[in-house]
Amino acid sequence: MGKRLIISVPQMFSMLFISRLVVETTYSAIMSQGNNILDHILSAGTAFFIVFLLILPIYFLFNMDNSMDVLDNSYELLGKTGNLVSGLYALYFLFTCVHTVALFKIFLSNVINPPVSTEVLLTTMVIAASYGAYKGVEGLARTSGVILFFMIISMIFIGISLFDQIDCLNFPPFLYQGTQSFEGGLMYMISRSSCIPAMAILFPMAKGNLKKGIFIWNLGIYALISVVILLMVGSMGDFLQTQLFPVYTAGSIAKIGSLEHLDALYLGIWTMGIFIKLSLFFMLSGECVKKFAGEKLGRFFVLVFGFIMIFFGIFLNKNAISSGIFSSPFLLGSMLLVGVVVPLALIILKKLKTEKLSIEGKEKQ
Amino acid sequence: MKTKKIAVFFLSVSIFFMSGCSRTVQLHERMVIQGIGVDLAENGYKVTIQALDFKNSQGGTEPSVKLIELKGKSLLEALENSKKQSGLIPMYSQNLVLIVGKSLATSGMDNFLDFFIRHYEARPTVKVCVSETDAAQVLSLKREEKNIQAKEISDLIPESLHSDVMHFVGSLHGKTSDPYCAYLSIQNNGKENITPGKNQSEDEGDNSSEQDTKNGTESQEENNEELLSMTGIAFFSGDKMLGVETQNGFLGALAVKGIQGLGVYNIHSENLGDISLDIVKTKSKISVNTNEKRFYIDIELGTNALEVTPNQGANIGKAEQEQIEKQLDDEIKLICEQTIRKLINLNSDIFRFQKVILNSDPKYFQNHNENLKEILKEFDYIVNVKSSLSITGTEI
Repeated sequence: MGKRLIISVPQMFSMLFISRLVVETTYSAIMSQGNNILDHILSAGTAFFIVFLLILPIYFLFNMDNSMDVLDNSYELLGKTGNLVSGLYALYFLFTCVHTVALFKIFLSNVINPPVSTEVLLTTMVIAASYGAYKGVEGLARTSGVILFFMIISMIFIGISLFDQIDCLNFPPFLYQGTQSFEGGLMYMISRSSCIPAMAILFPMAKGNLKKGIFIWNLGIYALISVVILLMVGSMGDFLQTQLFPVYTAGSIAKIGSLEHLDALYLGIWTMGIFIKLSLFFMLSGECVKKFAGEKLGRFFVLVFGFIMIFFGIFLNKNAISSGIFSSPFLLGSMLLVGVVVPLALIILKKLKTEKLSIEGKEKQ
Repeated sequence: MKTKKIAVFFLSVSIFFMSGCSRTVQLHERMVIQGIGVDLAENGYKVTIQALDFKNSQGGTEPSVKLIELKGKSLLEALENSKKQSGLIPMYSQNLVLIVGKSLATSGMDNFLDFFIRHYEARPTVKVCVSETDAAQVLSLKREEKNIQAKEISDLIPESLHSDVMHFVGSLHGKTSDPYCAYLSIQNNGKENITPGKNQSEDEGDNSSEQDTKNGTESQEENNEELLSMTGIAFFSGDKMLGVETQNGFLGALAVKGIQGLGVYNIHSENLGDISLDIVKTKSKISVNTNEKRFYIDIELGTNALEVTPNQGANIGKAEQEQIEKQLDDEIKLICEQTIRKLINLNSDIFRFQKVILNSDPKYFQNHNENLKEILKEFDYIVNVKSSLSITGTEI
């Protein structure tokens, strides 16, 4: 069961940081069903603590035997029934991929509206992500480091240029319209935390200080979101409520000297982020499938998953991004199932098994 | 090996779908829109487009500028008609300015502004202005026998005025303030021009060479040509234009909003003489006390005295400097108070007083949200102006 430590903790969290960021920077008052987007700073502060709590089951399960991921634990504790757990995780990761593809599609059709059909671009993205997944976690981790560097540089660049345009009068008081906006923002942030279930597979692959990594990753995400919200609200005021992707719009109004239209910068970085997220979750779904289907059949399934992604990408209604299976309650439920409930159940089973073994040992003595 | 085969399969298939290169629209097939003018027409809108036409370039290095007049029930319909008329694909991302005819602005702008929010190529930084005449007339104005370019019109509107789609739509959508935008007028070269910060009496005595503002809010023209200039701001209540603030009202509005570049203000002192002040820095802070029903508007001005015509024997020392500052403070204070009162009585809150109430007393805001604009009329507006004058050189 022993696993080779193939990536470092910072590399793992840079992948997860990008995966979170590409989703978090697409939210808007329209998508999170809130009127006062400034309240989402409070949502980010609350989500920061909630995410810590949600990671705990996976962290404790990993601490019980740090050579085993959640799938290894399920096979050890449940035997062949562990296939169900592997299937469940594979489906969840595939579902996250489909959600990301849908997000990419709505972004393409609403913001860029390129002359090339969105279907062609989506297919190309999925093919590229398949290649990324094929290269494995090491390659992805290295790429993530480079992309994260460019991401941070561009964020700083856009941030500085927007800082100049802040009007303090644009900041309304927190929660003056009640808690609806706060709740909407919190629900949005928590329900899209697909990185938590990903940790259940990735933890045994990483070497380094995990506690520190989790803390910096979580703090970095929510601090960045809070800064982005402050800059957006301060510079755009009520105008951002009319925008489907306000972070992108903020990029379009940012300028330093003669450098204008920085939305192109955001666009490039965001697309790279989408590539990392798709590749990572595609790879994870493939890993889960290989657990129960074996190496050969697993590869076939990965191919099928690729087609499923393309199929959904092409035929999914572009307005379905925040309704139906992509509604926040459904996303939250599925995330809690694989990110919290399953690891918690495995911890309980493992404890019971350990106790049973110790009782049997004592009886033998 | 199998993976490689799969990869090769995918790549081979993708070649058949990769039609991106063949379907790319070349620059000469584009109509690069630089300015859009919208006027009211029977059963809809009359839209005038100024665009760069790379296809029909008349020699030279620069593309020709093309004016197209279109009509439609909606703005989008009118704009889409440009394809039929020119055979070119319109490109809105390079649009610099949106000019709205006064008649359309007074009847309401909400119906067609949506295009500038939703269209993927529309940029929120596009400047918005209302023209005294039809927008079509502004865009077809001639300069040295050539059409005035949209870039020149856009340059008339200083960025610090925040007269753009983002601020206009934000004010309209937020429901806690009313929008405003730049107001353009066409005047004959010999005719009197209006500069913010000039008293009516002083305007009458000015000659045309003194009428240039510091911001360059005028296009300098040759003899008997028509001039386009930014003469003030158009203020709205909701999406409907109510009126225009020019001259002192314009100056007062800019000072209350803390917008830089107020331009030149002339004061006359009985014992000192005439002094032309260039107001280079403006800072404004608005606070409210809802219990006392009072707004406090603190304005700081940084001014330079660049043209002093003192009375015989007058000398500008420290005491005189303080006297000038005091006079300037008093005059600007009066102008600001009159401007605020006028706009509030007309039901226009371009100074965001409702937003100030929301931020400092949310409960009061929520309790009076329905008729807050009416309540604003009952408030007192206390303006405090503090200027700091710097005088360079000595009197002749």
